[in-house]
Amino acid sequence: MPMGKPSDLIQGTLDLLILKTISLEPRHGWGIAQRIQQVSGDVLQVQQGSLYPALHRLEQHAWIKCDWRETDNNRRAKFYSLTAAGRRQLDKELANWKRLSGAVGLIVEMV
Amino acid sequence: MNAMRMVDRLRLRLRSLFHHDSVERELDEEMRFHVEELARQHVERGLTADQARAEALRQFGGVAQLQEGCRDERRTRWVEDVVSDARYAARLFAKSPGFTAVALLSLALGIGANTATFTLVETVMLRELPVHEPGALVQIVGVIPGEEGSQGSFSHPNFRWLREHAAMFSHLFTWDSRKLETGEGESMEWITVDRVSEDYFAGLGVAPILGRALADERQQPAVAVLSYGWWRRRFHADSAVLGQTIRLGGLPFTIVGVTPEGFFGPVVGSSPDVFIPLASERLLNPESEVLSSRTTVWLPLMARLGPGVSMPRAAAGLQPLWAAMIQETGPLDREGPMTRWFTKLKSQVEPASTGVPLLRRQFRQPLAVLVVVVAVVLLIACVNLSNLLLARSLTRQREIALRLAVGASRGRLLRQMLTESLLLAAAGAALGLLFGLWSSRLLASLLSTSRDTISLDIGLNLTVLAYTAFVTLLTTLLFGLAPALRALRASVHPLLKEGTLQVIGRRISSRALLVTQVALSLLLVAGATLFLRTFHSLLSVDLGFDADRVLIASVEPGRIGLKDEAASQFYRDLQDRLQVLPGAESVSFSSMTPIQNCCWWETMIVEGHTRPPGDKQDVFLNSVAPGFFRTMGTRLLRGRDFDADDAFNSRPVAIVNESFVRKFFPKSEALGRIISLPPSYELGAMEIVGIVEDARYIDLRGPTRLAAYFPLAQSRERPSSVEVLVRTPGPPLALASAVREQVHSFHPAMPVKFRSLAQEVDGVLTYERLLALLTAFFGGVALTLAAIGLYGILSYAVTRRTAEIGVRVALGASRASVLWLVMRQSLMLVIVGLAIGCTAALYLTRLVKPLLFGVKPVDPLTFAIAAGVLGTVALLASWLPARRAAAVDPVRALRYE
Repeated sequence: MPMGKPSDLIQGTLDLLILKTISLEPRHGWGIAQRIQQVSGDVLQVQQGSLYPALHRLEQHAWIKCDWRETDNNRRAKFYSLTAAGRRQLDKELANWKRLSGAVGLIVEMV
Repeated sequence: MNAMRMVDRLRLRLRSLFHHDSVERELDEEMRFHVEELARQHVERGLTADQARAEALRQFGGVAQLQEGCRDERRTRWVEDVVSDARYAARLFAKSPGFTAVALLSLALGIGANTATFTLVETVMLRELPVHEPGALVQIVGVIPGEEGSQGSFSHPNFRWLREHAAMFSHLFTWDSRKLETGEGESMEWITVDRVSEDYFAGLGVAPILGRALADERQQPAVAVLSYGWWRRRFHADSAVLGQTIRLGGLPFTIVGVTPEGFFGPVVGSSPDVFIPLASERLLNPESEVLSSRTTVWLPLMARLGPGVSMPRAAAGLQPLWAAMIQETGPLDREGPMTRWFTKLKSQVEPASTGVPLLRRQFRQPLAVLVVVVAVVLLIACVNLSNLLLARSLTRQREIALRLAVGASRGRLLRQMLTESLLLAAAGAALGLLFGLWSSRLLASLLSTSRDTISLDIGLNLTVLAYTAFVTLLTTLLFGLAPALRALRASVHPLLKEGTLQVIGRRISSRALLVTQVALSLLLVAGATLFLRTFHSLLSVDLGFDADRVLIASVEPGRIGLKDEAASQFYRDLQDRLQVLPGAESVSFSSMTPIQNCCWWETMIVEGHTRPPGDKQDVFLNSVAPGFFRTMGTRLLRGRDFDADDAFNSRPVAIVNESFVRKFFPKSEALGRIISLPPSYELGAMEIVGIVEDARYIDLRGPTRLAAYFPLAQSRERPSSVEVLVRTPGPPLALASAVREQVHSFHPAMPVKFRSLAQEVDGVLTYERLLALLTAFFGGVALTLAAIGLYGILSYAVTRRTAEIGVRVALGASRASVLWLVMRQSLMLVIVGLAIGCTAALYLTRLVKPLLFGVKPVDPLTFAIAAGVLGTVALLASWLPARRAAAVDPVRALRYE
C-alpha cells in the first residue's frame, strides 16, 4: 500500500542515518529528524511518513530498542537506542555506504 | 542470526499481536509528541499557539496513513488482518442469521456427506491392513483367460501342495471363517471363529500382546488365540486367561494368546472373536473329509513375498508350479466337469496390502454411486451458496465502493471476502465433520446383513481430516470466488453518486447458477426415483414362498456325533414334538433355505431327453422333509407332497418346479417321469410325484431356476446340519426359546441358532435399501436447496423491483399480471434447468443400469416424476415472492426510493 510521500533519501540510506544518529546517545523520533536535518545543514529532511515506519522496521529487526524517558523539558517521549545487533548492522551499513559512495565518486570523477 | 535476537523478535511480534492496544497507544503518543514539538518550534518562530498547532498538523500530514505505514512494518500485519477480517465477517453473518443458518446447514450436509463417504472408501478400499509390512502381502487367485471374475477359493490339498513348493513366498497361509457356539443352553453364544493355517500369524507378522500366536498346531489342535475385543468383552481383559479352557463347538480349547487391538485378520469388514488351528476340523467334525477332499474349494490363498522377490517375479515363478499343483492335487475324476474347469484356471498374483476384497466386490458399485451423489450434493450446495452470496454482494456494493474510494486495494478486499467465505466454509466443515463421523458410523452399521456382520474401524484419522480440509478449501473457492470477483468489478463513481442501491450489470451469472442448480437437482431426484423404484420392484417380486412369520433354526446333530439312523430318529422326534408346540402352525426340515443359505446344483439326467451340447441344464436342488412346501407357503400345483412313506429304503421320488417342467416336458405329462442325479449320489432313478410353483432360490433378480426337491429321508449322504422351519402366526423369533428348549430336551449340547426367513430375504436387499434410502435423502436435500435458492433469488429480485412494480400497479397492472411477471422469470429458468438436467440424466443413468431392477435406466415415468416433483417445489418457492410482489402497495413502493 503506497503511503506518504516518496522519501527524499536514497533508498536504504534512511536506516543508516537513523542508526548513526542514535549511535552516540538515545534519541526520540522528533530528535532524530531534527538531528539529521541539523547535521546535514538542512540538506536532508526526513519526512514523518518515512521516519516512523522506518523506526518500526528497525525495531522489528531488533536493531534498535526503545524506552520511555523524560525529555529536557519534562515531557515523556519514546527514546530509541542501538542494540548490540544494531551496532553490528551499523558497521555493516557504514562499510556498504563507503563502498557505494566511493564507487559513485570514481564514476563521477572519471566522466 | 543469534538466538537472543530471535527471542527479541519473537517477543516483539507477540507483543504487537497480543498487546495490540498498548502498541497502538504508544504509537499515538509518539505521534502526538512529534506534533507538539513541531508546534513548539513554530511558537518559537513567533506563531500563536493555535496557528502553530494547525501548521504542525498540516506539516505532519495524515496521521492515519502514517500509522498504517507503521503497522505495515510490523511483521504480524497479515495475522491482524485475518483476525480483523474474520471478526468483521462474523459480525456480518450474525446480522443475517437466516442466510447464515442456510449456508452452514447446506455446507455441513455437503461436506459431511463427502467426509462420511470418503471415510467409508478409505476404510474399505484404501487403508492398509494393520499388520507388519502389508505391502509384501499378495493373494493368489485363479482366472480363466478371457472370462470375467476370478476364483479365490481352493481345496486343502491345493493349499498344502502349494505351501510345500512355492519358494518365492516366505509364508503361504489360509483361513476359514465360521460361526461356532460357545457355552450351553440359554447362555449359548455364537461367535466368529477363524480357523487358520500354521503360517497365518507369522505371515501377517502379528505378534500377540499376551501369550503366543498359533504356529504349527497339527499335533495338538485344541488351542485358541482370542481377539483383543472378545478378550475384553468376555474376560474383562484379564491376563490370567492364558491356560484357561473355552468350549467351542462343544469341545474344550486351551487359550494360549491374545491378538493386539485392531487386528481383524486379512478380511476387511470381518471381526473374528477367536482364532483356532485349521487342523481342529479333525476334532470338530471327525466325519468330515473336507481336509482331504480334492473337490471342496473353500480356502483363500494368501502369501507374503520372500525377501527381494517382486510381485511380477513371484507371478512368473508361480505359473509352472500351478499346472503341477492341478496335476497333483486336482480332482481325481479326470473326466469330470470340475477337472475340465480346473485345468482352465491360470494363476494370478494380486496385491493384498489393503486386505482381501470380500466386502469390496459387493460394495464397489453402490459406493461409486454414493461418491457421485455426495459430490453432486456438495456442488449443489456450492452453487446455491454462490448464488446467495452473489445477491448479498450486490447489496454490499456501496460498502465496497466506499472502501475502494478511501484507498483499500482490490487485492485486500478480495482477501477479505475470501476470508468471509473461508470462515463460512470452515464453520460448515466443523459441523460437517461431526455429521460425517456420525453418519459414516451409521452407514457402516447399515452395511451389515442378518448373516454377515460388517464391522469396520471407522474413526477420525489424518487422511480423513486432510480430505475434509481439501474439500473445504475447494468449496470455498467454488462458492466464494465468483461473487467476490464480481463485487470487486464494480466501479467506484456511479455507486457513490447514487443515493440508493443500484445493481450493476445484468445478472446472467446468477441465472446460470440457478439453471445449474435445477439441472443438478434433477439428476439427484431422478437417480433417487430410479433406486426407489428398483427397491420397490424387488420388494414386490413374487418369491414363490411366504417369507413372513417363518422361524429357521439350524441344528447340527453331526457336531455332537449324531449320525445316520440316530440323526434321522432325532429329526422325526423333533418334528413330532414341534408339531404340537403352541404357536407352531406347521413344521418341516430342509438341507437348505432359499436366498442366503444355498446352493446346491447338479446337471440332471432326464429320461427321454437328450441334452443338447453346450446346454448346462443346471438344476438347483434341495432335500426337504414332508410339509416343507406347506411351511414355506409354496403352492403344490399337481401331484403330491412327500410323506412318511418316502423312507430311506422306499422308491426314490422327486418334486420339480414349473420351470423344470417347461424345460424338459413342454408338451408331455411330467408326473411319473424318471430323472436321476449323477452316479456319485448313489440315489438311483427318481420318479416325479409332484409339481410346485417356481420359487426364488438364490436371489431376487435373476431368472427363475430349474429346481428339484428330494426327500431328506432318502438322502444317502446325511447332512451334518439341517434347517428346521416353523411357521407361526406371531413374530417368528418369539418362538426361538421354546424351540431351543425342545431341541435341548433331546440333546443339551446340540448347537442351534435362529433367524427368520424374512431376515434372510431382507438381507439380500441391504445394498438396494441403502441406495434407495441415501439417494432419496440426498434428493430431498437437493430439492430443499433448490427451493431455498429460487426463493432467495426471486425474493431479492422482487425487493429490487419494488419501485418498478409499484409503477406498474399504479399504471393499472392487475395483480395477476404482476404475479405472472415474477413467476415467468423463474419458470423459464426452471424449464431450462429441467431440460438440461433430463439430457444429462439420459446419459448418466445408463451407468447405474447393473444396479437397477424392474425399471429401465431411461424410464419416461421416472423422468416425469422427477421433473414433476422438482417443478412443483420450484413453483412453490417462486410463488411466495411473486405473491409478495403482487401485494405491493404502489404508494409505499414509490416512496421507497
